[in-house]
Amino acid sequence: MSKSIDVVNLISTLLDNGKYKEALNVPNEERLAESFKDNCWDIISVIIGKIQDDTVVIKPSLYGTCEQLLTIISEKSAPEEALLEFIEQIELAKNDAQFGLILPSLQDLLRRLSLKRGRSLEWCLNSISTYIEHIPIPEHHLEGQERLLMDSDPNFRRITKVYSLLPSFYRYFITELNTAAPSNEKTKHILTAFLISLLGKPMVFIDLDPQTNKQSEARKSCSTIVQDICLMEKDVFKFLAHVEICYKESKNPTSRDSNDDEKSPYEHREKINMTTLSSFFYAALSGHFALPDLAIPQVYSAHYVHHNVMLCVVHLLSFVEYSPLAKGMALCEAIFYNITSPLSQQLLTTVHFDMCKGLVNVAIYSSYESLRKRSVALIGSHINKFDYKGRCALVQYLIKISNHSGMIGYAITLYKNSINEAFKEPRLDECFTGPQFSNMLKKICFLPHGAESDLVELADQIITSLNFLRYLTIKDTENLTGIHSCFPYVEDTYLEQLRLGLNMSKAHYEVKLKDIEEGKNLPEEKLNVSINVGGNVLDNIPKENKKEIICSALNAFHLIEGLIARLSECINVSKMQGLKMNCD
Amino acid sequence: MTVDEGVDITEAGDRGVLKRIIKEGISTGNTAEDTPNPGCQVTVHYTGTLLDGTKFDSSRDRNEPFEFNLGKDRVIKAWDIGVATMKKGEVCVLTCAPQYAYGPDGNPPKIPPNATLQFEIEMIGWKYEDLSPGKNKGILRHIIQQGAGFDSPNDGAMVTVELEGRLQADGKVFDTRTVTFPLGEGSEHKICEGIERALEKFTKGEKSRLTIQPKYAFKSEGNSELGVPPNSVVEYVVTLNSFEKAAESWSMDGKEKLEQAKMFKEKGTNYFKGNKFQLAIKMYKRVMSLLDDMPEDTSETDENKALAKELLLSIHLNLALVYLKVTPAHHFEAKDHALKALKFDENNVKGLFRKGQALLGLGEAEEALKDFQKIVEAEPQNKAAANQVTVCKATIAKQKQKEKQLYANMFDKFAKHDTEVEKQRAKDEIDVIGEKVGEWGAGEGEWTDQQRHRKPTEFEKENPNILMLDKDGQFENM
Repeated sequence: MSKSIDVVNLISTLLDNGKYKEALNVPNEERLAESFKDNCWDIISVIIGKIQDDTVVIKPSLYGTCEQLLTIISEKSAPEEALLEFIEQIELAKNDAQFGLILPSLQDLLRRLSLKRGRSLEWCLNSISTYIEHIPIPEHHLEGQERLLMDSDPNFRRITKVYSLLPSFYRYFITELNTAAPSNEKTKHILTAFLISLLGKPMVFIDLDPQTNKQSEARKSCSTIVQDICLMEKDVFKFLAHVEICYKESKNPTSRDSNDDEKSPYEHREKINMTTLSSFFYAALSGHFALPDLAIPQVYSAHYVHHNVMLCVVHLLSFVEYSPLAKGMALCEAIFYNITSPLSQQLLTTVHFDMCKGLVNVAIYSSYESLRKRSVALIGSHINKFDYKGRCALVQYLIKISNHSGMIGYAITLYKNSINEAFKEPRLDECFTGPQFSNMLKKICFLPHGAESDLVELADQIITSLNFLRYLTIKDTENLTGIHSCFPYVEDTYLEQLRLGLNMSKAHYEVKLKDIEEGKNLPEEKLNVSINVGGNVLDNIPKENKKEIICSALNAFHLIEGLIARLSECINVSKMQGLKMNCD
Repeated sequence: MTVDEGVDITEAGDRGVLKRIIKEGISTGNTAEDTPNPGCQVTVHYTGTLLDGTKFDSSRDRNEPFEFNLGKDRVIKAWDIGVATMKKGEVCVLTCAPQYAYGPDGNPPKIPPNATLQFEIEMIGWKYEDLSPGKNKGILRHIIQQGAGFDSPNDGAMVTVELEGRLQADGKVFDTRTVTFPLGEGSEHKICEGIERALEKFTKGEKSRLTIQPKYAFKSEGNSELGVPPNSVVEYVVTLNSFEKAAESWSMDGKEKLEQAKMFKEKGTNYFKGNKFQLAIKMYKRVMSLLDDMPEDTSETDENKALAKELLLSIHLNLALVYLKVTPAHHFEAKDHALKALKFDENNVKGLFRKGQALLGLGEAEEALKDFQKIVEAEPQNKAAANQVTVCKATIAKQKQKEKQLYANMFDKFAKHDTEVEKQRAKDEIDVIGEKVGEWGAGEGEWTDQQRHRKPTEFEKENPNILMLDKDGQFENM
């Protein structure tokens, strides 16, 4: 026993004292060889413990020695035992140098075990995944060119470093797979699942857009992984079916669980899940990465592919971080890019609505301006991919779900543009006529609280709706849409409420303005309220800005007033014309 | 090879998919078994070319046969139609017009817009779709009639199915019925796990034959009630008539909304019968949100509008009842819903009755009396209403009595009260220099007697040592 402790200590001291040759000689010395073999476990952890991130630079010979010692161990020890110790060391690795040092030995051992590998390969891959997942991902809230700076974040560098170590480890097994005569489906699935999981966290949080950073390390790693996946699963669309399953499960987590042993590697949700699959399909389909020529069979139905890829888009849009959102949008743009003929309303399934909602959320709430703008553009182009009926349904949905006046205004504009397009056709589409039109009109010209609605908040919606009404009154002289029958509603309800609301609001704001000018807002100082947004205390609004806000509100009121006046005029003209036509 | 060669196999007969057999497949003699059914996992080898002879894709180049689910809109239409006609071992050429392939958009970069495609396909074989979790052939599906749409019921959704179960061993039918149940609670309706798992993959209207191993059927126990012996493999023919959708109302048309509403109503009523009032309320509210706009919606047909009204009426009536039944009764909500119900039918007896009950509960007996009297007028034989009339009258009498007492000597009482208030005010004023103030009062941080006499809270009782309570959990004198 005393002898055994000696070996571990001996190696440790030799390494500490820089006596590398002696250390390397230990396994060869006859009196120590036996004990060396018996104590592999402890020796492994001692050796690995010597390595720091900078060892390879400061003490290259120490690093070399450790490398050699580990090779000797993996050759001399019982592979099953050493393997367990190495797997454990991967999970315990304190830095990336240790991680990198272990991988080659691990591969050696697995090679030696090739026939009785059992589940050990799976365990190894799992521990690698665990190690990678523990690397923290910083969020820097940078935009545009500034995002390039993230390459110098230490954690991002760690991630790219670790990813660059992986191919030399797993590639051996892929080659082994592809050369083996009876193909081993299970191993193939294990490896593929591992590679796909690599695309999840943290890769999904890293920018891979070729436009901003074409030569980045991360892009290279991602590209390698995608290529390697294609080496094994030759039909990448096979995973679309998994997308569907994962999506269902994520919506309905109560589904029955089945026994773990029965699960195939593609059913392990920590590897194959919405995030990893979405990231994979981003890489495969966004056009940001090259795929092998044959990876996509040209027989899948376009609808099936769209539907499931959109599930991925919806998932990516549910993140708040920049990268996944940008990836979701890139993917969304890619799948809609090729569609030129209008999609039928019948194809409008839940996923379209979900995606619309996801885009709306990004457009309103995302903290990144560029993403917000991109999202708004995408909403428009998504809606315009459909036929008129489909567009109407989506516009209606937009109006219903967005509680943001600007977004509703945008939806109204989209509707207006569609009508304008439809007018150019010989026959106006039926969804812009009769009851369908009047229903939509009531949704557009809507004040949630009648005359008491907050006109400042709703200004965007009101202004666009008035513009829309004026457009139609002038355009639709022949009453194709049936707008004439809506005039009573517009004049007696909507405009009346608006006028009343305007009078009240204007009076209110004018008094406020006067108060400020006369310095009458003393009671507010007494209240001493502070507003806290995201941890930042907002300053009290200075007097000047208060005035500005009120003035801009008053401006909006005046604008609305002008629009109402013009609209009434148009309506009257239109009515007169109608009368004239009747007389004729 | 000309484009037009081959037999037209489209339903429409528009020569969109032409088939030319190159090598005949194997016939088993049973025509139903010769070709794959929808839902089957089909394995083929194929080579696709454009009309100019350019090869755009081939499974042979991948060195791996291509697998897909037949008839599920997974592949281009021409394939779903064409491959379904192929026998095992057959090799054929399918010529697919663009509308059965990638249409006017093509499939860039390989397939140009409006391209006619030619596929040489070799049928390698097919498996019945295995729906069991471990793919151990525990639940096999053989689709007889394809369903419509893309949605399938989720766990917990109400489903209505028509089923016929027989033993595989001797073909004896042991179960024939149409049943409605929430997915996941099938065991209460003698529905085995295999059917429930399979139903999660059904689309609406689908009719399929399921072959279920004992593990997912009635296991080693069998089911004596149904007459299923232990360890028997069973075969069911299941049709999914309707199911409750997770999808939201905006994506449905009027008919669908009504269908869903009926489903929720039924679910709610079941919860109500099971005394699960909160769940019943939730279900009824869902019906409301589905249909609320419908009677006013000018784009709906009159028939739908009438149906929606009818449903809304009964939903409001039910809601009124549920709100009366919950403890404590929510009279206000009950009245509200009864009123809404009466809006659809102002002489509805149930509505009047429930409104009356709610009003009574709110203490507005006179209003309630009016409602009950209205019922008695309409239905003189309605005893319950007559009873309520007497109850109301009694309540009103009681209230009057109470009021009488209340107002008696009113002025004396007020005068007395005023003097007391006056006295109290005088007392309070003196208190300004009373014992509680400043250094003359009890020291800071000390309990006044008044405070000490309050009862300790639960937290204080549980932590006596912190607060120095005595054995009985009362405050120690500090």
